[in-house]
Amino acid sequence: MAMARGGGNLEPAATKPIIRVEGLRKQYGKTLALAGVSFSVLPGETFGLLGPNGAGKTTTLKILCGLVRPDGGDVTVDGLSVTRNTQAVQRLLGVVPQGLALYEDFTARQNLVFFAKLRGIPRSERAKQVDDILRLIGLEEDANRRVKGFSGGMKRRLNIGIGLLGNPKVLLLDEPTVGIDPQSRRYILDSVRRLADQGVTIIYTSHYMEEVEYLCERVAIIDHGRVIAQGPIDEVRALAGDSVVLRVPVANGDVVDLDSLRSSISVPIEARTGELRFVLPEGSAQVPTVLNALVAVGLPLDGMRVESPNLETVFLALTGKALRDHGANGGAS
Amino acid sequence: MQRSLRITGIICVNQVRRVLTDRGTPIWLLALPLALIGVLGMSLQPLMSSDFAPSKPFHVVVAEIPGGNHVAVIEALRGMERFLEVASVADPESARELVRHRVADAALISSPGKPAAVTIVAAPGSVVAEVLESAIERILLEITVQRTEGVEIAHTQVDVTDGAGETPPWLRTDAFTYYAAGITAMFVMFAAHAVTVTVATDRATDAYARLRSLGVKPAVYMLGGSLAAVAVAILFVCTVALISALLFGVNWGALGPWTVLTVLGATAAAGLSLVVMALVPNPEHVDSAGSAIYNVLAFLGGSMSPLLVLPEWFRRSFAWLPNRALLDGYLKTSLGAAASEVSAEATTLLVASVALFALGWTVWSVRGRGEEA
Repeated sequence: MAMARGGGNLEPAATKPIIRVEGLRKQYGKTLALAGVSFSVLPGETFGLLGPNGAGKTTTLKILCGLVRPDGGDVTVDGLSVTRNTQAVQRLLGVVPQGLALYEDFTARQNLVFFAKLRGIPRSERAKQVDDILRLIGLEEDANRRVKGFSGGMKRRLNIGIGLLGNPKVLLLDEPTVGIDPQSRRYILDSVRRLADQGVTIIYTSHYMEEVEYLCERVAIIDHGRVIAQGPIDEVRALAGDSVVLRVPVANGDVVDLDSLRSSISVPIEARTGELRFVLPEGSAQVPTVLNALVAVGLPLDGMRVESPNLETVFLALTGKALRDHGANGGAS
Repeated sequence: MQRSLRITGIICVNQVRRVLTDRGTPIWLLALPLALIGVLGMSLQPLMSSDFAPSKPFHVVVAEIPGGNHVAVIEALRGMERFLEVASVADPESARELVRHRVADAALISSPGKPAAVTIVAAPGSVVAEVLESAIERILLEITVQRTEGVEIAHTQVDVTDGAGETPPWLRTDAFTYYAAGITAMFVMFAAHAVTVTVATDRATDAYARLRSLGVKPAVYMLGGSLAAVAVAILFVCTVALISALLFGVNWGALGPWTVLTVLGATAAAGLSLVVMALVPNPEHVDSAGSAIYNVLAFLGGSMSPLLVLPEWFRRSFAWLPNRALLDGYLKTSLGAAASEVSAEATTLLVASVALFALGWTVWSVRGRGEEA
């Protein structure tokens, strides 16, 4: 049994974790960012940290890579405490921050060379490693162009590439696909998978549950600084019980009065671009009720899809709120 | 220790490189200061040039008051035939009338008593007034300047000595040299600030977090940034000095004292930019806050309006500013001062550097405490 609901820290007994996060607490002024976060990651595993904005994912990663001192608890990486052996731990890690940590007036190669020097990669290996990374992130033909002229996706790829310098044992990826086009997103996800195949241990934070489901074997869901569920994805998904997700397409120009809809059916509703999503805790039996409500508010029905629960459904089921703030779009209002 | 030094060097070189590769740098740190030196130098050259002469001598009338201690002044002015045509009138009121009716360009009225005092009656800001002031100042008299445009408007006491009985350097230099020194003393702050802006940009983005995650300690990062600020400031001064010498014929004086002033001035500017960054909590506001502060300091330090037109209390009040010390030092070296003769300015810059770095470092450390591992 590797799955736990709540902050428990269960792990497969056979393998020793490479990362142990135990009872992390952190407070910024009056704001409690972490309230005892615990989880562990196995060698070669891709581990997902899932949660809405402000849940504590980034603070956890900052503590993990020695940027922020925890108020309580500790993290060990490969047996080394991050609070007592910060520099030794940092040598094991590759970090990809959420923001673009690049110099836009430099070329891609100049960026990589600068960070390679700081990483302490010897001159004899530097050029080869930079070339290898440029190839891996698909920027070898743009290596000598200024980053300022790159697309958002290219910048994100370079951002990840810099984190790969020095062949780190553990790669920390903090929301690496924020604000990029679907093609670049797919490229990044496939690159992360290739790294995982090469045996790199990865912690991947995101509030895109489909990315976490695509990449990760195990996951921890964080909300308000606490782990509310963790374990293998299938088992965490099972926490949603009988819930299903009903997806109804909304054509451009169709206006849906979400307030009326919410008052007539008491299930969580998300308005996304081109569709509405309903989480039905009692399963498919609730579908007719929802469809009737949609007809009642005047939405022309042009198909629907019922899906089995995913991590987002779990989050909704456990917290009663959506992972992301979508606002009204796709014709909804 | 060796690793820290190596990383400091890498950070320093990187920050310098970032400023130099920024496409705005040649405009803000080269074209703009040189243009200001050229424009201000050209427009004020007539007033500050030692070989200035009008197309025809100015007509100056002198009112002879019995008992007035003016003989030496009048005699000296009569000798300036290229500039002045001096005639005597019966009394002060007649002299003023002639100026009011544009018959004379200026009038001189001497007052009895000691120390000797002479009143200049002329249109405010007129060339003849400046010529007379300058000429009389060179005679080292305490004078009363009265300028008028039809009506008498003011009496101003002008102390023409620097307190030690010597004429200050800003009265003995031409406009191009004055503004080359003044604009350099002003823009050296902007040059150091350019690095501070890159540091602030790192902190506003995740670049700083990435550097820290690679084991770069905050102290090492700030040291690298500060060294880069000093390096960029020195590079800026060297470039402007060279180009201004070639374009405007500015003589910067002996290399030894000039180098001492430049290194200390650049260090003080880097210290000041560190203070600005430490005091401004939001990295995105560092650039605008710094620009505002440096513009005010430049004005107070005499980089914008020449010191000779500023009141004495103003000149004395801000003589302690590092940019003012740098201006004075450069003007002295341009007049041939040796290293020992700029020791007062060098000391001011050294003290300012130490104080500013100590303050900036302390504030920055206190602000960062508890947030970083």
